Amino acid sequence: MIEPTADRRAPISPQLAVRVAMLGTVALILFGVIFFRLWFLQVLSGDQFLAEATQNRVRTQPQPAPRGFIVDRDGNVLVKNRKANVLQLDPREIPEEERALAAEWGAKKIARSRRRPAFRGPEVPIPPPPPALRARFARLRKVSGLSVAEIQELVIVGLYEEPFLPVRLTEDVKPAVRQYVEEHREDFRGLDVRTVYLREYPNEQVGAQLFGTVGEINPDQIGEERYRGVRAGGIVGQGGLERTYDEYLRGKDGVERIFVDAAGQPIATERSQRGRSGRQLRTSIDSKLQKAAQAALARAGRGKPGAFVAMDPYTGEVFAMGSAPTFDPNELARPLTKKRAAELYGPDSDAPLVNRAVSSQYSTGSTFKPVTALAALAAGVTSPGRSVLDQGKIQLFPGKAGVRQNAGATPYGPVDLRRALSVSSDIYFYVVGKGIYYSEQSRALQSWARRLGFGRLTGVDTGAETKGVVPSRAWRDGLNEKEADCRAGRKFPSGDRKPEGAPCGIADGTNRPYSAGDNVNLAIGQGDLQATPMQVALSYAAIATGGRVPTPHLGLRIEDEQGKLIQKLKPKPARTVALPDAGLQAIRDGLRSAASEPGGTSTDVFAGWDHGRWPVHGKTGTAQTSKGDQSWYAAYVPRTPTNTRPLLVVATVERGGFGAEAAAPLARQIFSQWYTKNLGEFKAGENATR
Amino acid sequence: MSATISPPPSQEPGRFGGGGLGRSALGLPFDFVMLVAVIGICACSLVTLKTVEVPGYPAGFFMWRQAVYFGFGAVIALVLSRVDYSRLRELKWGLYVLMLAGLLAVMAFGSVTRGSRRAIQLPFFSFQASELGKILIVVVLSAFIVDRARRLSERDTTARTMLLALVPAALVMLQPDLGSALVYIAIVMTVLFVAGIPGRQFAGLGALGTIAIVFVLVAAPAAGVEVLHDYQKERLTAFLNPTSDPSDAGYQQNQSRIAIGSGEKIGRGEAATQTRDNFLPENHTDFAFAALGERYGFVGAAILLSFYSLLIWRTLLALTLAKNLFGAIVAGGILAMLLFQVFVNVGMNVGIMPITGIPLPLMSYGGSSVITTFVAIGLLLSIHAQGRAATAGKGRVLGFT
Repeated sequence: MIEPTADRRAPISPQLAVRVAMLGTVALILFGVIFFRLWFLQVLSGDQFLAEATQNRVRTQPQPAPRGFIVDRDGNVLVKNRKANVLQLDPREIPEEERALAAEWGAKKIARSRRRPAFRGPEVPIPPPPPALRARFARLRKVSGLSVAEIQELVIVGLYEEPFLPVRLTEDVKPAVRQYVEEHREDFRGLDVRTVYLREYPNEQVGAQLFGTVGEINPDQIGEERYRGVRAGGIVGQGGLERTYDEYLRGKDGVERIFVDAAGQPIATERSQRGRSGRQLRTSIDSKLQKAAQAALARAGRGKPGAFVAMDPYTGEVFAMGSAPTFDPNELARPLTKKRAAELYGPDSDAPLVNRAVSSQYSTGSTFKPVTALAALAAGVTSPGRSVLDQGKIQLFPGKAGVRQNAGATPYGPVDLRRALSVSSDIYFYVVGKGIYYSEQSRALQSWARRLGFGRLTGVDTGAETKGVVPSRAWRDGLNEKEADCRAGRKFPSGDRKPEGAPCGIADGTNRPYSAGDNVNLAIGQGDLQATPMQVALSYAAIATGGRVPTPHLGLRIEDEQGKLIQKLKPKPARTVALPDAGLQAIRDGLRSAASEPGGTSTDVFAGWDHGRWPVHGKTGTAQTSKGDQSWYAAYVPRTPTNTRPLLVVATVERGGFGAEAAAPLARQIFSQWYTKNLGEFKAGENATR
Repeated sequence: MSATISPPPSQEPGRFGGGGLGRSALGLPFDFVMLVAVIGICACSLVTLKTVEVPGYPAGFFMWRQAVYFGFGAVIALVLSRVDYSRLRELKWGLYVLMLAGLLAVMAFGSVTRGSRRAIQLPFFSFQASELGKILIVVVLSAFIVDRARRLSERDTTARTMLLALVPAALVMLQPDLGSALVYIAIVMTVLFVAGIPGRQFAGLGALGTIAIVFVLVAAPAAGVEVLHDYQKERLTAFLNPTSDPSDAGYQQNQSRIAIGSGEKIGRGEAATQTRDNFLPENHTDFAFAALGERYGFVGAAILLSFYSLLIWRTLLALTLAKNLFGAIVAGGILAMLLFQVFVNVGMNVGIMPITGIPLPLMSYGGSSVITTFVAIGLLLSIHAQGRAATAGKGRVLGFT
């Protein structure tokens, strides 16, 4: 019911007029404020906002440049690229909680590794993901094909090892998966799909250990001179030839401008800075030889580890270099199963990733004898014409332990230097080894070993070299000192607690000084001598060339994609060692005789070989180790008027028996492949000398 | 105000109460200037919606939908403008119950969008009760206060009016829709102000309001009770320090400022990337003003604001012309509703007001808001027409109509 009186009013009373005026004023003020604000934004500072708006929509992203190929000496491709989609997690999108778990896990793992094996206990388990992440990981399961536990392991290990790098979940995701992830970006926080170039190795196992891997630059490397110009996340060579020649291979990443909307969805892309693909590296590898030699090594080793080097002794160009067991490097670009990873990296594996030709050090056995010969000649202990009566046994030092003998105590009668090498008489070299020790130049053996390349890095461009050991008085004194210091202390070198006075195992238990016995052992390449096959090869190169120790290398030249020369690679110049002419001739004759004359240690292995055309100078070796006899063979075919393709081969097979049993036939097959394009059959020799 | 208002003539009782349509409805006066303002705003809206891009919707989708809403709204407004608004007084309790029922229905059956339950999903249309509530509360409060016109100075009247407004405001807060709740508060304050409650009581309300704010922001959290959601607090303060973190409330505001600023004097036209590439969020609803500002620059924004000032002026005029107190108070409430929404929305677009989710009347896409605004405009036209008709032939001279 309407109340008429209330409805009526004196229209627009003065009070109402005042209120209307007040409301009007308020409205005016509010509109005024907005107008001034608009004026400020659009007219006074518009250009600044325009700049911000322009910047807003463009994101730059490095466009990885394809790495250069690696080809063999004839241009056959050894390493190339393929494009792949990888799924990775942005570490910035991973919560602090998970980082803390990773740090804790890493600390426990380190603590465990410091303990002695007996006290280590089980491996540190991967902690389960925090609840918030579990849900995210569960969603990733479908696109990555990994279980939550597997993702968690990748994330924890990744965060611990490289806290700021993206955690790579899978490589090679299908285009459909990529599209799905990009369309459902909001469901996969922090997940990123990127196109990367992965290395591809069309010859699979051929030369597997030479190339090294590629990977994202790590924070420590960013400042390094060799990686100048590489931005974080850039791909660089992380070993082998990839690392040595990275500056040529890696090229220059381009920059792509991506126009995106607020959700980060790309709308269009534009190339703003052209990248340059990497240069091609031409190597001295002969892939046919490499392949054949690897097959021969596998045959000779029958599953046992081994290595070979085949090179030009004059220039240092490496034609083939291999190591067994080997692997397919394509595998490393894909996620590995646990079992396969253990086979490749694990402590119980035979370390297929290691290039034994330059990274493993061994006793060399009798292949060291030419070095002893040179030292003895220089020290005046022997001369080419002087003979030693080899009765198979000799009382070298007083007492029962002072008796030394040839393998099988075979007597060779009077042996001069030439014959001593040919038949590999230990007695001869025991005698000269002892003679050197008591001569005026008692350290001649060590100094000649070093001059010819032992105990020092060869400088080979595959890297990952070990130096080896040339045992000497100073070396042994140093070890003994360290052992004494350690025994006095309360800790093992690993940092674990140690009962006072307990031995540390740095020097052998006797703590004795360097002795004549050590020198005698060194004279036949036994005892504490440790050398890589490549070091052995260099000493034979010096003999083949008359005193030049070249720098072994694989890199020949840098080319463009079409194989046009851009730059020749210059290895470090060869070192020159002055060798006594008469003595050198006797050594060469001895080596030649060993491979070709009756009684020579590898004559039967080279039965049927055309020695007139390709005169093999070869020396067997049998290193006695705690695991068994290691088979060695070092040989070269020099440059002659009829032979323009000299070749130096060093081969070794761990636990392979006598030199003539495994390494010599392997070397023959390599020579055969090189000279006749035919690997020939594997024929083990009968000779049983060390 | 540039209007000159003649001294009020004496009342003519026969014109009131009985029937609104003294003469034929079509013969009633019509405020064509307001029509110009409304058409101008609608045109700006359609032009802006034509170019916005919202992921998942075809181009022009929102423009066509909005045009349909405008059509419906225009019909409603025209019908209302020919009816005597005074009849609504009789329906006040019915309208009040309708409003509460609508709000409760939303709470019961509403669909959840981005964490709040604001609308009931109907085929082709999602009904936001809180929007329609804005105009309903204007009518209800005006009717209520007119009923107590003789007891305006009593504290009881003020208290009851406030209570009447706070119940729906609280329901809206629960959705949660802080913006609409603030509109309700602005409306009740203005309604009380226009009705002419004593200044003392007004001051008292102000003091109570301040205490309530302090309680909500400081005292309650200190006691462990959170009245506002964290995101609400963040939004309310984000405009003080905008950031570029997309997960942050300040991001939207920053993007909006960049959009408007980059429009410069005459706008970026087709190159309006903030809108086109979706950097500007909600560019068809809450941030439609920024979309216009980027595309058409200061010129475009100023034209739109001119239309709004025109609308506000005509609303004030309707207030002064109203043939009765009810009409004046309704016009005052509508003024508060329009002015508050325009200022807060544009202020939030230009970065001087917090983000509260208040639409820009007629500019922002959305059926509920458009229909509500057209109902308000229809009422204003009716107030204007009835007022003019009442004074016609009585020597009332208004200098500018």
